Amino acid sequence: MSDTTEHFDDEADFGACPKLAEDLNALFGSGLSVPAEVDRAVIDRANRHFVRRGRRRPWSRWAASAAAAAAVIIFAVVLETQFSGPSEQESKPDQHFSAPLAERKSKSDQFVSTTLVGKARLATDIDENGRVDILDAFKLARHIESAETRQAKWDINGDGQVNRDDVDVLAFAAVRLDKGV
Amino acid sequence: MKSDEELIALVNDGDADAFEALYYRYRDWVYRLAWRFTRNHADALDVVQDTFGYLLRKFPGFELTASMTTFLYPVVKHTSFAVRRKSRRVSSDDEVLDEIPAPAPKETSRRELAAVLGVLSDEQREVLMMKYLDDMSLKEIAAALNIPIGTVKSRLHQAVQRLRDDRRTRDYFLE
Amino acid sequence: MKKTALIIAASMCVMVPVLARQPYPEYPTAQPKVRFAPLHIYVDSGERALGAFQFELKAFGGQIKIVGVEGGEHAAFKEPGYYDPAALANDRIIIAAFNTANELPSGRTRIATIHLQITGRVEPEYGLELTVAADADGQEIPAEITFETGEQK
Repeated sequence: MSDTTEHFDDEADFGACPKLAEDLNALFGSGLSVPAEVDRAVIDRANRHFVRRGRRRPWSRWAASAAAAAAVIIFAVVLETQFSGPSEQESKPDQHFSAPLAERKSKSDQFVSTTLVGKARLATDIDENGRVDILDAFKLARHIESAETRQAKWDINGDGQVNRDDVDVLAFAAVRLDKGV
Repeated sequence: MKSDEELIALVNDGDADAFEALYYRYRDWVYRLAWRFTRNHADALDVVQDTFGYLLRKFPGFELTASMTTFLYPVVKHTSFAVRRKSRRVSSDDEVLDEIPAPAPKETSRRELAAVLGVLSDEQREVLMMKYLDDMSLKEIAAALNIPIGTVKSRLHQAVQRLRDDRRTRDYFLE
Repeated sequence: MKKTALIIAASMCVMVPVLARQPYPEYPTAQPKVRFAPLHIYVDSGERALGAFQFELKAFGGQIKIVGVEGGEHAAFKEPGYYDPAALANDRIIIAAFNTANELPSGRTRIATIHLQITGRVEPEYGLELTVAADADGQEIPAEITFETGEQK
């Protein structure tokens, strides 16, 4: 620790030689730049935005409703996975490698009982063993890769498709810090 | 050259060219910041597009109450974290520091700078970066982070003091 | 007068050594030392191929913050697994990963490296628990989870 006491009252007090910015830039810069395709994408979007400005877009209300519905579904899934417990089936007997944290009985069942959430519970517990863990995501991924019939109940994120995004939702649900603890 | 405020007034009137001018003025700044948060070129490009998409949606009716960098910083930061979450992990400056490749001899000072930066707290490192890398004023940093200016000064003071006290980095602050 | 001078001189002889033994006033010391430590996590699945795993790590004692996560040594788990971003800057994390490819590790393999920021001199303790491990078919398998500290992987 320095034995000098300094006061920094304005910008001038924080002066540093230009090499600091140069070295920070070398350490934290990518050395790459924004390609022309991205420029075009942003500018095209801006052009469309300003051309359309003032024009009524009939789909926007529908899109907002759809987004709201999707948000409700995702919220329900998240809420449920956060509080999921082995209430629908009996837990498997403990093994030395089993999952005491995931199998811990949730105190949330009293709060979560809507039909929507009930469906979400079934959907997230792919292997139907009463808990949501990485194996649910693993099994869904295997189902998807094997091109077996895709069940509508696996559309976890409610976007009308069963794909890798649903696997990700399951996997993230499995690693949430605030689930069942 | 038109000021940011003048360009924004034009964009509010529906001038797409003015928006384009704003984009090119801040594109590289946004990219650099996004890369710092994401450490990934593709993710940083996504952040650039999302950030300007967000800005675009503010028009018409956008009022700039501070500087553009003050407005953009939290947008880029939050968008970067969202993009990285989507691609499964979030990076921090610590990770960047860990991944800096072995330096050539002339880059030794940078490596040493990285080592000293590694012992700063996240908050100290962030304001240091904003000040010396993003070239933001103390007032802009305070507004962008939504903290009192005194807190910015305090964090920056501690960070600078740490660099000044360390023989490996004190030369950056010699008069 | 002579007597007064003698008393003052005697007092000085007694007081000076006493005052000299007083400790220096304590000035604030530097901030607690911050260091960074990697923690390497291994799973031993014996002869069975490891297709998926999930574990939870909790660090105890001291001021500890998880600041980064790296993937494992085998190509199947090279990328960092899934984890809650809220775990960064926290002292607890759940990490999980799977791979549907054919080439999977077996035996003892490093599945992740977790970078910790430790403030102060306290040596942290770790609680590590394997939630589940599975083979290539997604069937649960017995496996052992361990960790190692230090720079060497």
